[in-house]
Amino acid sequence: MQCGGAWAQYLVPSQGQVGQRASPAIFYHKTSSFATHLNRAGNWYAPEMGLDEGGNIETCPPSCYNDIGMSDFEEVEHTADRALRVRGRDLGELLVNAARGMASLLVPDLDGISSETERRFHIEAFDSEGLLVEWLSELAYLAEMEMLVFREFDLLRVMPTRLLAVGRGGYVPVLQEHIKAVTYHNLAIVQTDQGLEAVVVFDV
Amino acid sequence: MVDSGDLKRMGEYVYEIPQSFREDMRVPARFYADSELLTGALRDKSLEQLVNTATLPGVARYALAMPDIHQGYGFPIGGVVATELPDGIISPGGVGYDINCGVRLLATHLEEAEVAPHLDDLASALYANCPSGVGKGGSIKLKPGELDRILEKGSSWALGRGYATESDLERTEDGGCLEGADAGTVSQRAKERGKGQVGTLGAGNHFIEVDRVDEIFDEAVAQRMGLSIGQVAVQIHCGSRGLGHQVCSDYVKRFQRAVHRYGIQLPDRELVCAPLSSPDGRDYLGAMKAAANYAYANRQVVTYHVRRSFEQVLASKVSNHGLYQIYDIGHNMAKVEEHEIDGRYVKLCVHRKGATRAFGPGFSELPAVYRDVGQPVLVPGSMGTASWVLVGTERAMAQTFGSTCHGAGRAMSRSKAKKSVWGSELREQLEASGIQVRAGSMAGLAEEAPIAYKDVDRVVEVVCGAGIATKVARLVPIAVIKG
Repeated sequence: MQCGGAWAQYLVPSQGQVGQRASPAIFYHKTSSFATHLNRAGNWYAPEMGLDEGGNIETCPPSCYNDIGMSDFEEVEHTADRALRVRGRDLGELLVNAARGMASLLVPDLDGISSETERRFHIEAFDSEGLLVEWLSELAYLAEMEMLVFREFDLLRVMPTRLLAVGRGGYVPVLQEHIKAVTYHNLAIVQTDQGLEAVVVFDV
Repeated sequence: MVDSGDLKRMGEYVYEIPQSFREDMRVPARFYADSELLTGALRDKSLEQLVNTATLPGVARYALAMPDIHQGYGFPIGGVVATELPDGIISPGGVGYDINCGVRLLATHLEEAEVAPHLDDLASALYANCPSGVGKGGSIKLKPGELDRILEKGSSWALGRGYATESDLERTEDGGCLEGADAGTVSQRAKERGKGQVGTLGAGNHFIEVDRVDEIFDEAVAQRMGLSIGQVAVQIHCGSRGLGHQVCSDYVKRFQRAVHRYGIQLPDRELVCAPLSSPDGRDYLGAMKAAANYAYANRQVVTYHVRRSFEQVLASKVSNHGLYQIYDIGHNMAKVEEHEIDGRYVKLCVHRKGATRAFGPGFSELPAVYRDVGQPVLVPGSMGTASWVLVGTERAMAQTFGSTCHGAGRAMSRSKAKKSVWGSELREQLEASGIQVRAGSMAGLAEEAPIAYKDVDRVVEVVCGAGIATKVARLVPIAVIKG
C-alpha cells in the first residue's frame, strides 16, 4: 500500500555501485517534482507536502507503515557485530522496517516506547543504499546523543536518493545496544518477488 | 567461500590463499593459525573478507590476517594490509569505526594480597569514577576550542590539564600524539559526539580490568617494563568514542563517490578508499590522526580516573597506591611506515584493523626505555580469562610489516552468546572464581562471555610460535568493570 498520490514504478540502474557484482534494483518514487525550502530558522518546509513555512504539518499525510506487527526484519548471524535482513514492498517500507529493526536492537520492547516526541528528517545520499545508511545513521545518532528511539514514521517523500520523513518516538532510560555506526558492508538493495530486500551490518 | 582445499601451507602456522584464487586479487592473502583456529576461520566470512582486501589498489606483498581473525565489515578483524606510497590507497573501513581503539597497561607497587581486602570497594570506585555504558558522558568539561587541542595534541593536552605524567606520554605509542592531525578535517557532528565523552569507556567489549601478574616468561624484559609475579596491574580498553565513529562514517560516505573519480573497483563498498596522495586521502589521514589523538587523550583521562579510584580506596591503607604506565597501544590504525620488501625500503600505509604494531628492537619509533627490547604488545583476553604482554620481533618486521595479534578474537555472535548464557549467571560464575564484576548491563555482560571468544592462550601460542612476537608476562583478572 502506498501513501496517497500517483506513484510510478521505475527501473533504476543501481547508481554508484562500487563492486562488479552490482545488480539493478527497482525503486518506487513519486512522479511529480518536489521542492523543499529552508525557512529563517533553518527548518525545511515543503508546501507541496502540506508543510508551511514554520515547518508545521498542515495536513498530515496518511501513515502507511505504522503497523509495527507487520514490520519485516530479522537478525542475521554475524560473528562480531549485529546484522539485519530487512524487507519492504517498496523503498519507503524498506526504510521504515530497517528503522524499526534497528530500534529493536536498541530496546527490548518496541511497543513500550512512547510516540510523544516528533522529529523531522531530510536525508540525501549518493544512491539508495547510501540513503538507507544515512537514514539509520541519523536515528542511531539521536539514540546515542539523546537516548531517543523512534517507533512510528510518516514518509512525506521517498526518492531513490532523498527522504523526507517525520518520526515519532520516546526517550528511553537505557539502551541495550550501542550502534557505533551503520556500515556499507556488502550492502545492496535487491529486488525479490515480494519487493526489496537488504542486509545491513551495524558496528556495535 | 574459501575452503581448506584453497589453502597452501607456508609454514607451521602460516597459510596462504594464492593470488590465483580470485581474478581480482592483486597479491596473495596470508594468515596465521593452527589447525583449530583455521577451522574456526573457515566457519564465517573472515577469509572471504581477507581475500577482498587483497584487491585494494597498491596493496604490497600480501594481505595478512592474525590468528584472532574473525568476520568484521570490509576488512576482517585481525587484518593487516599495507599499500605502497605514493599512490597506494588509505581506506577508512580498513581502520574501522573505533579509530585507535587500544589497550593501556598500568602497574601498581602492590601485591594481590595487599589489594584483596579492598578489592570490592576498589571495583565499585572504578565503576563509579570511570563513566561507562551507552550514551554516558564524561565528567570533563571542555572550554571552547579545547576539543580541537585534544584532536591535535592528544595526550599532551592531558598533560597540560594535569591528567598525565611525562612518563605516561613516553610510554605511549607515538608519545600519545600523532603529528599531522588536522581538526579542520573533522566534521562538526563528530565534534558534537566527542565533546562530552572525553574520559569514558563506552560499551561493547570495552572494559577496565584489575589483574594479577601470574607468570613471567622473560625476566629481563619484564624487569625493564616494571612487571613482577604477584603484582597488581590494570588494563584499560577503549577508543575514540563517538568522535572516531563519526569520522569513519563521514569518510566512508564521502569515498562512496570518490572511488568513482579515482576509477577504483572494489568487491565491497565498505572498502572504499582514496589514494593517500589525493586530497581525499590526505583529508582522511588528517582526520584519522585527530581521532587517534582523541583516543590517546581519552585513555589518558580514564587513567586519571583509575588513579583517583586507587587513591580514594587505598590511600590510607597501603604504603604506595600509585600506578605507573607500562605501555599504551592502538589496534585500529593506519600508519605511514618504512618497511623492507625484497631488499628495498619502501614507504607504506599499513592498515591494522584489530591488529597491533609489533616493531622489533632498534626502531626509532620506540621510546628509549624499550628501544632495545622491542615494542610492548598488549593482548587482552576475553572477560575472565588471561591477558598477555608480548614484545615485537625482527621476524614480525620481515613477515607482517611489524604486526601481531590484538586479542582473543570472537568466535560466536552476540545474539548466540546471549542465548547460551545469562548475564547474571555469568556474573555469579566469575565471582565464584574470585573475580569482582561491575557491569551496567547483564545482556552486555552475556555478549562478552568467554564462551563467545577464541582461546587467547592459543592465539598467543600461534604468534609466538610463528615468531611474530615473544612472551613477556601473563596476567589473570581479579576485577572486571564494563559498561
